[in-house]
Amino acid sequence: MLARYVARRLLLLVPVVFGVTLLLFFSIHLVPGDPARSFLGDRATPSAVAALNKAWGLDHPIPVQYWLFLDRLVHGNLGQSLFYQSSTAGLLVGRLPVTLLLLVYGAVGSVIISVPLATLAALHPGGAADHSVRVVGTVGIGMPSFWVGTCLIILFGLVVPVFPVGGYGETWPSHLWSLVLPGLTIAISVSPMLVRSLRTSLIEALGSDYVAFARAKGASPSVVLTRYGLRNAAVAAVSVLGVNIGFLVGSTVVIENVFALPGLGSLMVQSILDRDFPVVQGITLVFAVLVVLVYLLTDLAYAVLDPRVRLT
Amino acid sequence: MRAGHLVRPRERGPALVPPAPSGRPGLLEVEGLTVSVSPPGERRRVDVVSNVSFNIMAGEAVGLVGESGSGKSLTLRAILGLLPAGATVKGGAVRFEGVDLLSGGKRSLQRVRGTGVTMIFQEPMTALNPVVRVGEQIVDAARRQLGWSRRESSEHALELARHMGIRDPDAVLSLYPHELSGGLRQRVMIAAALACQPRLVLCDEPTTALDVTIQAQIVALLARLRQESQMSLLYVTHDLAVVAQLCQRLQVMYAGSIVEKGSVAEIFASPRHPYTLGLIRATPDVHTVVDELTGIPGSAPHVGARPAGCAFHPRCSLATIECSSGEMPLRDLGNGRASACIHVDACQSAAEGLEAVR
Repeated sequence: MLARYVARRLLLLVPVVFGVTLLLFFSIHLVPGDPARSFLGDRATPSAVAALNKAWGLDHPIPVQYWLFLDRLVHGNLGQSLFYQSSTAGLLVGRLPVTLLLLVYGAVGSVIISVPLATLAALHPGGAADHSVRVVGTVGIGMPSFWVGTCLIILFGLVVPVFPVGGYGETWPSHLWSLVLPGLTIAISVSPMLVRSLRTSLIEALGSDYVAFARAKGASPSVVLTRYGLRNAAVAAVSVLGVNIGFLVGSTVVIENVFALPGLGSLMVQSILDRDFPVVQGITLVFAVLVVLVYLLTDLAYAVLDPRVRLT
Repeated sequence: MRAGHLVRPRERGPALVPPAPSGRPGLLEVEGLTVSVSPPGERRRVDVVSNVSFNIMAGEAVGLVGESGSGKSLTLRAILGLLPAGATVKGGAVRFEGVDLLSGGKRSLQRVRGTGVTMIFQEPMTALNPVVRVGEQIVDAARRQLGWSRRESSEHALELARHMGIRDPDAVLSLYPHELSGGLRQRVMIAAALACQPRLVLCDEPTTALDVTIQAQIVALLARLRQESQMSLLYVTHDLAVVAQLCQRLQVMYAGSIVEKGSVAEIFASPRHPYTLGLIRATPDVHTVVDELTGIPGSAPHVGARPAGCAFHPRCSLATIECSSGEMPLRDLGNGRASACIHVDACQSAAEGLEAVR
């Protein structure tokens, strides 16, 4: 039952990937400039440029190129990078863990930030804490993440040098340490939405009959808050978190550049500048798959949290 | 837990005060309770429960009857400090075994809830946590209060479920509320409410949401539990038949005030308030054939638009000019009876007509 549901959702990946590649393949060729010229430099002769384009298969008409691309794709081949001496797939595999880890940091961080703030606000709706949380949230929503990232670098990298200002380090502990600020940047951009949704559903839960009955039974305030209040509020909040994380897959492009992280996002920017088409296509595909997987995980988490939900 | 756990005298839970001598003062004393709310979109505050006083003795079952909006549910919730957002206690006192629950703050309430007083709700579907298995909900509060281990808790849950007449409790307790029938859900809620062996159970129309055969089963269950454990009941309903079955005493509420109280037998035989009389007349009786049910003309006043004088006078056939102004306090009629009607005698004659009809 569950396996069938997951299989069906994964099957959905096929049209998604097809649509994404189609859209991307044609729009990327609208970008002026060609890869051979940016590879060979301004002084290259037209014949050299033409020869390189032919070697890369870029002399075919675009529909033919697309067909060749799809043909390679179904055989599991994302093509060769035009600029790196490596296959696209190899490049992506090296970069993917950084981006994944960044997303996990962002998701976990936003939960750590949001749950206490939303609880504080929901315990006394309309009170001083509620208003303060609302103001902080509004300010948070108004701050673009590249600016937040820069501020965090200045604060924790230069003024109080606790965290590295950029890079990914060499060892696993340094990887984990260097992702704290980027993860925090993501968490700060997701938290306002999450706080808002959690606060609303927590207020609703705390005003419900099941909370009144729990109190009448003599359940302690902490049990009422966690097992009755937050447990029920989490059901609605998990979809908000999922949608936002899905959305954030794209914004890792910005954050990885701010923090000079060797993830997919920074590779994406470089590849676009280089007109390294196979790599751009490969990364876009990975992002599309990531978004679909995040949404699938969200729906699964939703069904786990709420026994009334049936996955069909 | 061994069989008959509900029958055993209480042996756990700290006594808050030395036991009251021979039932007096009452187990629960409510004195001058007044609850106010703000009507939607308004800033002013309006009393929805005004100056309500009553006692409940140990082992006694008392009915609190009135139509929707008369303030009976808010009275119950105020006793346990469970008023919904926007409603506040404006005045009065609630004492359980001599301890004031209103001024004692959260700690005295917390100590009394579950072990002293508990409440069962009208709609078990909304009163049970939708995302937690019912077996856990039966014992989650009691477990902490009585210090049960995990294993003890599940044994207690099974025993309680069996005691509530739940068949196949092993299977039922591992389900979620939405997977149970209405009757089973209500049995689960009663099991959860009684897990700590409370001395007083406030019942907020616990059978209203159920169909008739299940209603009868739940009422029978409550009657049995009460006999076994000597717990007291404060039973809110608009169903006089249930009151007749379960309760010894009855108080009738109209527009936020108690308008009549006395023993069930006496009030049913001869009501001393026109509103009570109307309620009894409006109760269908399977033994008499009638073409049309007799209702009470008009409808209950909205909160904040209650008429001056006796709140019932616009709907009352006995009303005179005196009824439309002044306070209408409950007047003692002797023998534990009281009425807020100033035309008690006229009401009595009208009630004799009632007997004639029957």
